[in-house]
Amino acid sequence: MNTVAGPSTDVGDFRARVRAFLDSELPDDWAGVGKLDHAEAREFAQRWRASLAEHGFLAASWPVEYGGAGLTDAERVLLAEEFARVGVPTGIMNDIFSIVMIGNTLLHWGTEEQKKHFLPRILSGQDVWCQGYSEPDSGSDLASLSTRAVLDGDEWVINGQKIWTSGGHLADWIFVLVRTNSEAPAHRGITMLLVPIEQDGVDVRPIKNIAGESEFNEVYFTDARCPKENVVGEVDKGWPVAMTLLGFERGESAATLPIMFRAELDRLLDLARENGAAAEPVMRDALADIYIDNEVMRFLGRDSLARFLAGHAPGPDAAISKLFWSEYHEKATELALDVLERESLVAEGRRPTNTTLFQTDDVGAPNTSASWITTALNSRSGTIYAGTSEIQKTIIGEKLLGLPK
Amino acid sequence: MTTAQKAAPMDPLLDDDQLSYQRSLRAFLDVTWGDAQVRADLDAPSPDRDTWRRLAADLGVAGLSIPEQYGGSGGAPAEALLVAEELGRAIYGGPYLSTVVLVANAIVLSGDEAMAAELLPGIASGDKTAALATIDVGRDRYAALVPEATSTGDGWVVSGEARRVIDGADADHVIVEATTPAGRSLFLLAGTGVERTASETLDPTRRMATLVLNEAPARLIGRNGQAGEILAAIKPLVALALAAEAVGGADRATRDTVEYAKVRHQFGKPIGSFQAVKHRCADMQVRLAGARAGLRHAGSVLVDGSEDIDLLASVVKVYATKSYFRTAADMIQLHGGIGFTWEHPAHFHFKRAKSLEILGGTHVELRAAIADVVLAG
Ligand SMILES: Cc1cc2nc3c(=O)[nH]c(=O)nc-3n(C[C@H](O)[C@H](O)[C@H](O)COP(=O)(O)OP(=O)(O)OC[C@H]3O[C@@H](n4cnc5c(N)ncnc54)[C@H](O)[C@@H]3O)c2cc1C
Repeated sequence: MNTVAGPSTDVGDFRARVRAFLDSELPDDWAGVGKLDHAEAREFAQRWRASLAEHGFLAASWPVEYGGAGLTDAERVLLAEEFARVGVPTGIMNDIFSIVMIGNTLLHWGTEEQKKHFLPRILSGQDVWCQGYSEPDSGSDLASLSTRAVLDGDEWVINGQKIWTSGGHLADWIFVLVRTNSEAPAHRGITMLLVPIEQDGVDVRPIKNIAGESEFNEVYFTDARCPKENVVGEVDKGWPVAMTLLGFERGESAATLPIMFRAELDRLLDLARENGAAAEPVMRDALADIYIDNEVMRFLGRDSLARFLAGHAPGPDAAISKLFWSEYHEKATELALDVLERESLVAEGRRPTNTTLFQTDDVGAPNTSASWITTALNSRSGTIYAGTSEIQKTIIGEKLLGLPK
Repeated sequence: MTTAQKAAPMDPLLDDDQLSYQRSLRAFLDVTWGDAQVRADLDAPSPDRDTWRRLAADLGVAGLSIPEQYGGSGGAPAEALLVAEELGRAIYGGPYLSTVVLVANAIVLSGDEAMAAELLPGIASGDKTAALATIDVGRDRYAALVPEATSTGDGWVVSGEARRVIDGADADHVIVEATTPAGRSLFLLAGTGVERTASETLDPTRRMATLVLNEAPARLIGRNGQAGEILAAIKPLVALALAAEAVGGADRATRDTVEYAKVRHQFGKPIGSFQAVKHRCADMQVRLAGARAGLRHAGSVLVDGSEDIDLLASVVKVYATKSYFRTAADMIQLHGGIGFTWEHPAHFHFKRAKSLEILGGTHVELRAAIADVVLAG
């Protein structure tokens, strides 16, 4: 069985509890979000999120006092794994930003007031977040960012521009990295601010991506304001805050990523059997080759999960996993188009709802050309966002191997 | 003008006339088919005809494969590849491939003089466009009934379905390959009994359609049972036209990416100064050089017949389209977030490159054909 956490963790009857929850909440014939059309999927996602929140499964590792279930790391991973297996999300798309990123960051760095104020609002769905890091001139070189904030009495006044803000059009709040000290060296003058989007000074403009969808945005700040106390950590010391935030996602993804990519590969193998590619030696060879990569991803997942559960802080070895899955996914979806062959010239049938973090199509989605074309296009972003492949390799070379800069 | 653009026309395998023709094509397309026109054409309910007419009338692109007696300039296959290359460079998706490469070549090679006299002058002048629907099912899971023609005594009717017909929704003339008791044959549809539905294509700059034929009246082109022979004869021409588009597109993609790597700064330096970026750009240039040299060589072989053109066309098509795809993928990567936007042209290259890989014989099919020849004892 394709379990990552299972055998190595002591989670008592927690797995049984999660399965019982899934059994009671999902219809008997449930076969994944991929079986729903887009309107149904949207509706399901909202309902599902509400029921997760109600049962404490939405931000399951958060302490009970903030609406979580107080799960251990091992339990949280197992939960994510069981969810991935039956093809239900652990939240809506923006929960990557709301819960995994800013919620966890506030738990770690936030003041008691911030936790009490923001965390329940995230869980109830009242506040939806997005991530304002990248700028037009500061992508790979994030520390060069130039959006500025100055104090004006009790408020910060923010000017500048963010870009590539995923889900910004769906968000009410944005956590923004701003420069608060232009004298200090690049990394030292940065602050993380929590800024409401619903105000005159913030303008969110969608950008269409290569798949023709508007998922990310430009966000303009023109004398935008937020209260003085909306700083995460300390003023001018936002860089370490910004960096820890990127590590939170690691434990769960080590478990879920191999499951999602295996489900996707299974779909590709089905397609090959269905259209006859499976009978061609050349295609068999290519499919076996991608299967090998897929297995290695599972092995790597076990490895990083073991480190995570042993309490190792996320470190530069996370770059290996990021590099591996994102490059894998481009290769796998290129192969999918070759398996589809002539069919991939035209996009037909259901397309992905694009609610998954790694841009695989929804579990249970039909093997349509539109599904694979869209997935293949989306896969190209995996090697760009959250640190490009080139940057990941530099991290591996310099931070992990100690090669000179 | 940047140095990169100035350097580009330097091409020792082209003679002066060819260089001058190439310059005229490029100058025309730079003005008439920039990014704005590419995008406007995507959203237009029917494809541009105006630019196509001018390409045909002013630059003679449609007549290069058409004999003089039918309004063409006749027998200039190397120049025809230059046209495809420049159209690829401009990400132009108009009727050249369908109307000229597929249909005009097929009619000429059918030897059907009456049809040639009827169809070719309109094609050469740019007034008429044409589509060719071949029986090309491959691994398509949804392929319906292959078109079948039945004699009605004084003519034919065709029934069945053809998918992925390039320009099939808008072309003035539609030619279909259909089975008859004598084998596969080509037919010119009269116009009734056919339902044309535009498809959503992977490459949005290349229109395709599904044709459903229901006892559609049609006339035979050439001899009954001749389709296999005609399509085999145009196959290398099609493969090379696709390869030429890939070379043109890859040239543009390479130039644009290199330019970007020179001006985009991160960490206080142009990104092109980082070896990871520089080496990817160098790989693009190496692939381009190989593909373009292959294309030029194939152009000369089309003229002098000195080599097996089927083998050569397969070799060049696989290499050029594969190179274009890798280059387009790298183009997205090296542009970072911008490369993932609809507003940037990188995705047009990426989508077209994948589409060119599959059209006119997939890599797997062409490599198998190459292996058959080179491994034969
Ligand atoms: C789909 C998508 C969603 C995103 N969502 C968000 C979001 O929600 N919030 C947010 O803040 N950001 C987001 N981003 C932005 C993302 O983090 C940046 O795109 C990324 O960091 C790269 O920056 P850039 O686009 O400016 O590219 P650049 O940094 O300009 O990179 C261009 C090219 O140069 C290379 N390069 C740069 N520096 C070096 C070097 N030193 N050595 C070698 N090569 C180098 C890069 O690898 C790349 O190939 C998203 C991006 C995408 C594509």
